[in-house]
Amino acid sequence: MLTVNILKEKEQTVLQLIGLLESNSAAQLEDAVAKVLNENNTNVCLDLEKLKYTSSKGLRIILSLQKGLQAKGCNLTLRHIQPAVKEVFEVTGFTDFMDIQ
Amino acid sequence: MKKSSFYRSTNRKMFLIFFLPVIILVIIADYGFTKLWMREEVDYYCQIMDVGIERVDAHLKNGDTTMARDLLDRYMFISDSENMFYDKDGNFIVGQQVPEFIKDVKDLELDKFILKRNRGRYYVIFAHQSPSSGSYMVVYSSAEPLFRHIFIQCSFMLLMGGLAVLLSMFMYRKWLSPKIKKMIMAKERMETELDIAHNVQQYMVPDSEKLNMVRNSQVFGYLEPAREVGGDLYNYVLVDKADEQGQTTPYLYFCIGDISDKGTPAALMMAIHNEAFCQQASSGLPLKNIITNMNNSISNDNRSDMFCTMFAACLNMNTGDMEFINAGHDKPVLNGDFIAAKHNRPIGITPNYDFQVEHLQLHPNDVLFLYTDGITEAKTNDNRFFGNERLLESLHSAAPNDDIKQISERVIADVNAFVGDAEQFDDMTILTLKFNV
Repeated sequence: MLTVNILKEKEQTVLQLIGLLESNSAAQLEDAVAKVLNENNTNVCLDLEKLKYTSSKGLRIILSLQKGLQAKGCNLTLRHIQPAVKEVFEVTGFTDFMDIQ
Repeated sequence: MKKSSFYRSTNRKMFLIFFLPVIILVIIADYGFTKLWMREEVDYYCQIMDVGIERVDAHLKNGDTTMARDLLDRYMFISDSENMFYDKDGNFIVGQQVPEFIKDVKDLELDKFILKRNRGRYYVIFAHQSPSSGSYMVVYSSAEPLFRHIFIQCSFMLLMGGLAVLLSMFMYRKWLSPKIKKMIMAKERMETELDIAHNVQQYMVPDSEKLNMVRNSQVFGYLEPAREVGGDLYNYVLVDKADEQGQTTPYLYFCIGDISDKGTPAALMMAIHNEAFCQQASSGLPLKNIITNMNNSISNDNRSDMFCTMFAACLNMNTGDMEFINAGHDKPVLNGDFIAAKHNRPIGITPNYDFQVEHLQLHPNDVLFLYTDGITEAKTNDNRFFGNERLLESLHSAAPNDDIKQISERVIADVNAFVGDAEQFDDMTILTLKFNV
């Protein structure tokens, strides 16, 4: 349902999310987030080009990632966000405090 | 106690029903069939003997060589001069020795096949005394009755199999079964607790699935967790607020919310939010203070990163003036159309967040439909969502004189029909209000 690719890109780590981010598939992202937070000390970018849907649980993990990064002095950016996902971000007010490119 | 005696009796039953008859059958069959087959075997030996004797008779006078024929149809030539036994092809043959159970060779009848039985084995013995040296030569062949042999082998295998099953049953009861029992009991306890939790959660929200009249307005709430308990909530509280002149005005505080998770963790957060809202609403605090207080108390030490999207409102039951805060929740529907609402952040993310309060004027018979994303994001097996359009269609299909319970139940039925046999994916919650009927 969800594939998470961890890529290195210049100064930042890119998490590429492909598929649907929902309660049943959120564990993969949680694992990837834990891994990224443990191993790296770089900025993280979520590539949402191929993410078709996110549930509120998915938002929670993205929020966790942002909090974890901020605690280490790093930033989270989101790019290539698709309309369906962007709508969820807008409805929940996440667009206010997420760095969406 | 009930459980453990059930397991014991199951084992005993299994043993009695299956293994005991098998073992008894094996014993009876072994005894009976062996006897029968033994008789057949003996007849068979005798036939061979007869043939053998005839042939021996026919060949006895062939020089100094005596010929014998054993059970396996091997012909043996006993040569006086060589004192050796060969088969007809000249190969050295087995059985030169006297069988151990024969005490004295001299007792044997000479130049004749003798059938002897010793310890379940049959021996065909042919003894000959050399005329020149006077020494005895004895040739014998021994065999176990074939069927008995096979039968013993099979019984042995069956017996070992049975023993193995018994042993594994014993081991299962002794070591594995208590563990499984414990696991089952733990699971059952958890399920029972979750069942209770489900009921407790249903008690936390007012009259789920019932049409309620609050003053002259209808209110209907529906809470259906995807699992036993969930992270959705709705609530409503009627408060009479007195102004400075001593006049009281009834206000209906209501909210619908969705914790960003499901199952037990979300249910715990749901309880906190639900209680916080009710308590503060009961004391008649302004809506903004209620939501701000909830947000601050939760987001200050929110290690779980769970947040709650909530639509909360405070309705003046006399005038229909409604103030509301949409904390990141789905757009509400008023009379079959979405209303634009500002997107505040959800509760539990940013301490001291400044929530924007908005106003809406309700008119008599206005229907306000609130829901959580479990409705719009109900999903079929091939990943199609119910979506906003279907929600509006469903609401539009209501008959003019339907009450809000019927309206809401139609939406639920439409969602269920749409998803078909797909597993319920998220908690589904509805709160519907019809003003001043």
